[in-house]
Amino acid sequence: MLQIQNISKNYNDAPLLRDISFDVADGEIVCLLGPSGTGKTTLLRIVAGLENADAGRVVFDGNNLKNVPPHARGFGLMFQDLALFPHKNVFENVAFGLRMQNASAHEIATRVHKTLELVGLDAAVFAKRDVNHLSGGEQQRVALARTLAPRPRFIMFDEPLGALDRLLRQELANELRALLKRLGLTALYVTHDQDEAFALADRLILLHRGKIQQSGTPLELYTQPTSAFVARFMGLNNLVEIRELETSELETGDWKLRARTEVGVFEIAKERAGKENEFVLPRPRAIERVVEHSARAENVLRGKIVGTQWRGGHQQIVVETRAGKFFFEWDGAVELNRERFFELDAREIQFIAQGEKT
Amino acid sequence: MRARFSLQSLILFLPLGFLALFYFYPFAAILGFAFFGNGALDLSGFQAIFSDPYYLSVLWFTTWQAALSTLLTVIAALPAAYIFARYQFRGQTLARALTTLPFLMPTIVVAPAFIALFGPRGILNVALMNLFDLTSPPIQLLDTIWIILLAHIFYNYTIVFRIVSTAWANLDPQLGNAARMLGANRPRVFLEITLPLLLPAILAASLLVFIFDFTSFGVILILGGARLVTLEVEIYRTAANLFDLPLAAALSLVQIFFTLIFIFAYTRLQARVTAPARLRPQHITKRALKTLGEKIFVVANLATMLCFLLAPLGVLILQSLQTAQGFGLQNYFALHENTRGSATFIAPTDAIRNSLVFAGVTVALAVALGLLAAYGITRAQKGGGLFDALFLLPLATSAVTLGFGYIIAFSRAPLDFRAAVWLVPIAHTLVALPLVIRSVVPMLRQIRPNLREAAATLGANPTRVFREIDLPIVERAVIVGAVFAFIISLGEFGATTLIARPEFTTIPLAIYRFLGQPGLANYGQAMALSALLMLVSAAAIALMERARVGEGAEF
Amino acid sequence: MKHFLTFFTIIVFTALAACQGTSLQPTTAPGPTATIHIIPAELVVVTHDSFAMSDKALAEFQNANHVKVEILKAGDAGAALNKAILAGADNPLGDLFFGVDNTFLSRAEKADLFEAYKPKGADAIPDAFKLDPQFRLTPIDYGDVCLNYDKAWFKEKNIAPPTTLDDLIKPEYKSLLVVENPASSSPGLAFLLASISRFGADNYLDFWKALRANDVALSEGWNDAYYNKSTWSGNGDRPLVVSYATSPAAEVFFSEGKLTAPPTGNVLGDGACFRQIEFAGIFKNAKNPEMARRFMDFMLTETFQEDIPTQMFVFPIMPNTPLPDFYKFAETPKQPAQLAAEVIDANREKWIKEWTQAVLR
Repeated sequence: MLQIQNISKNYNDAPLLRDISFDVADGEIVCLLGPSGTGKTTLLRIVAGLENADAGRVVFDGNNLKNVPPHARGFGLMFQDLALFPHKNVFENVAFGLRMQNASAHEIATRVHKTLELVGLDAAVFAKRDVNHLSGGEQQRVALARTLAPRPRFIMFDEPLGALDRLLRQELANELRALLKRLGLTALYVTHDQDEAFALADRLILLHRGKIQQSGTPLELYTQPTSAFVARFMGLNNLVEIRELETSELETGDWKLRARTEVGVFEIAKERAGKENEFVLPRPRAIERVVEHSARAENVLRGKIVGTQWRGGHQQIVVETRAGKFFFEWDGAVELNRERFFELDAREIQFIAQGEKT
Repeated sequence: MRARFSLQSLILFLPLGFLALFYFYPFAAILGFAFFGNGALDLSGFQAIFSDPYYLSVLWFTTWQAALSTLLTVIAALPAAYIFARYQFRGQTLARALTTLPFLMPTIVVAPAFIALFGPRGILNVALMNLFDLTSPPIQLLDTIWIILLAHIFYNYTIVFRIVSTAWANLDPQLGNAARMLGANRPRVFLEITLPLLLPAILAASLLVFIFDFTSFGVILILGGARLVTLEVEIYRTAANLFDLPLAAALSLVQIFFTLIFIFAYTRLQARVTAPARLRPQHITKRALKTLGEKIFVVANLATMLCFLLAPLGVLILQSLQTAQGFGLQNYFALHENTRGSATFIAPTDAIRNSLVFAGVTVALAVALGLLAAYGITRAQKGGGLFDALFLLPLATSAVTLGFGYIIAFSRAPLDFRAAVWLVPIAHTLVALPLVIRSVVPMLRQIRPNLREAAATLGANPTRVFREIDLPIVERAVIVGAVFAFIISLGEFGATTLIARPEFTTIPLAIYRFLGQPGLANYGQAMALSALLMLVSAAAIALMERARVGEGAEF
Repeated sequence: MKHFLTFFTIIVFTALAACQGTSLQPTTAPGPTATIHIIPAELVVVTHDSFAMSDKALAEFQNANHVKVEILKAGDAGAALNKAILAGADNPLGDLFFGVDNTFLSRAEKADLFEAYKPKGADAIPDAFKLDPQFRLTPIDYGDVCLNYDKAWFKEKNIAPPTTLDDLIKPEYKSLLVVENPASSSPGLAFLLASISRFGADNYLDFWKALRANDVALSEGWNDAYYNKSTWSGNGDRPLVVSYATSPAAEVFFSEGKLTAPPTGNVLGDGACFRQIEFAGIFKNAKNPEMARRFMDFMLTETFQEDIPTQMFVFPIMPNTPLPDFYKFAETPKQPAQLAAEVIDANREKWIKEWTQAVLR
């Protein structure tokens, strides 16, 4: 098990990582997700031993790795630009780590062959090929094979699919997850792309401004974002600032929260709110009805539909209100540019904290 | 940070120590002797320099002839650099090896060859006189600036050619294609893409050539006809013949001062133009000749280049075959005959062996120290440029001044090295070191650090990383440096004559001895030995180039 | 990679082997241990590049004295002496120095490097050569710097070769002469001194200005003048070259029997040649002064003196030394130019500077 304990790191006198702690359990795939420049790569390099933290510890299976140099950690790292050795062919690249372990020639040959097949490359065709002559996807697979071949006890990925097109990226991400699970590997994966993260991760850690913003399963992060920042990063953009907040007890004994905003009043059950309530987040499926006149005093938006889009089996509508655009899934009839009331389901509305400003 | 600093100083310790002991110490010794010889500070040398306009004119001549020579050398060598970088054709290795030959020929044998070509009774003049029925030779190049320019191009062509073509070969042709897609025509592509990317290499080569031309000695001495004088020649005359050491030392300092300005200007310039170019493997950048136009272009260029570089050498071989009975190999056979039963006679085979051993030791020393220094320079956070410049200093220092410094510094206990044979390769290493460093540093700078990190995460310890990643990638640059070190050692004359022991005579010394006596046989044997020097060097260079070609994946 | 390592290894091993080989060279030969005086078994002779002696002579001396003679060549004549002076009298480069000529005699004496020792047989040296009465420096050989002319060229052009320096400024000898720079060449300096001896220190520059007007060619050193600019070398267009009086004889000697007479002759008129006398001396504070004295004696014996003409192409200092056959072509001037060593030393640099000013700029 890998334990990151209170890691801090300054870069050019500005804090890059601030007191980061999390664990990666055996066999778990953890994704470090966050916009670029948030220190994800640096954290990875600290775990790999390529950089030193200013404070904190990296512990693996109970051993502090402070004085263990990168080559003695037995970790694997797949680089963002792959860092294939340009002066070695495919076989030599993949064999490199095994040679460092002083494996026998026979063992190296067998293992390189197996690993190449594992990542979906025909060893007979590719072994002697020049790495500079491969396509982007092939280079990715060779780099992966090179990382896997020495059987690292822990494996890290630094945006390895970044250079590929979306379709290939999705495909490889799925394939990679299957492979890692099949091999039972423990992995830490860095990316800025949430689709990639969703495809791969058992658990997501959202990093921003050197701090962990939220961590949890992909589902948890998507359904229960704790802050506006996390919500936006998950692609939930229907955010409106709360001006005034009041708590009231209903006759049933339940507590309700009422929030006054620029576009009206929202009222939800107290358990749907967070610790700090600074924003209202109507979720994409919040629309119950679209009507010309509404008698509701709360949980209703006034605006007009300015656009539609077909997305993932649903129709997405863009609603323009006084507070900007909102996006909803709505499979009902649509009339463009007409003033309408959008009645929202209280169970699809969340109150959340602001979190880091983006 | 601290740990890295100490590692870095450790890496630089050996080469800097070498420089301190074999350059700064003797140089300081001669300066001390010159300026404090009589106990009190004596600056009469500087007074003499600044009160006499003659020295100003010498400095001016030294500078402009060097600048002009450098410019012409770059212009002359660029086409060939392009051809060797972009095309693959048969005989490439051989042609590349041949271009190196001029660089290593001692002036004492090149001068006669130039005179046999361009002199009043030279091949060129005789042909023109016959052709146009002239009574006097139409080309009068001897003792003029023209023959000096020609000789400088002849000598330094290979520096520009090698450094630039290596850089060019690693340049991604995609960049040019991208620019063409954006609407740039070929000249524009060259001016806006290729040239800026090649600039560091061109500047590095130009700097070396400029320093060689600025401190030019033998060429000026023999072909300049006593009237054209560079600073280095003036220093030599002042020190060796007038024995006016304060003046010679002052002149040496002036020379170093100016060279330092050039080096400094260069490092500033280089810092600005160095863009992290992405290296491409050669077989991607190179291709076979396709169209007839390409073939004609390449053949015409190669022919001109080889003709210019090899004609003087061919003349030399021709003369080595000339004997009293007509053409024959007598001069070569005669090399072994100790006709006079002289005790100081050294068989040419021995001279060749000595030369090869000295050259081998020089290569080993220069490559080992050069790699360490190059590492230190590239790893240094600050002062890398300073170290870079420090290692260039020996190139800028007058050999005779330094030679006298050696006498003062190394003839007393505990540093009594007077009879030490190994001073010869040490002196050669001093000259070769900057060339190794200059060719390795740019390559080292271009190795992406994550290649090393990738190797480390795969379990390679730092030594292993160096052997598996750095060395193979800089190998080509190391070999270029090694070739230069090798040929510098083989052809070195000035320093060797001051420190070599007669039983360890080198080839150039033996040639010089033959030319020191009158008679057809002496001249013929000198030429025969020169031809042998050429052959031995050509073979050695071809071997080194082969060592590289044998490598499967080049980068 | 593999190739490179192999290559590197070969080089290192060659180097190591070579070092081993050289360290095996006996730097201190085992000497006789039973003698009463323990004489260091090595004698270091410091000299210039042109020094040569035969195997036979060297072996004879070494065997007779149970000593290994180490010959340390220190550049050309000027450089060798300068190195000796730089090393200083306290810590000499070796035991003995060979090769101070009369133009540098005073410089050597002023540096006070040598101890007085009059070798056996020195009395027989003609008085004209004994420039140092104290024998700190003993004359060993002499030679004349003369103008060589191309016999065939003058015959073909039907011009009589010049006989004196005065002839050289005549129009018929325009563009025929090449001289060496006295600042960098020993024969060049000798020729300059000859001109000063002939025309006087006040007027010699007029001669040179006239020579310049008569299109004199300049070379930095002897071998450039002789091999690149002379007509007989086939490379140049100058039939008159400042060289040595023995050069024509050497042409015959080095023709491997093809020449029966030299292609060149000497201009031997009064004052046209300058005589160079070469001296040897024992360093003060020599490590092995006793052996150095024996070597000084040896240099005046017939064994060594006889060797001089074929080894160094100059004349032995001892009269009646048998000369080799080809020396019949080595002519000597009846009246070489004369200048006292002190006068030369006092004015050498001044004259060279004046000459440079008048001829080069």
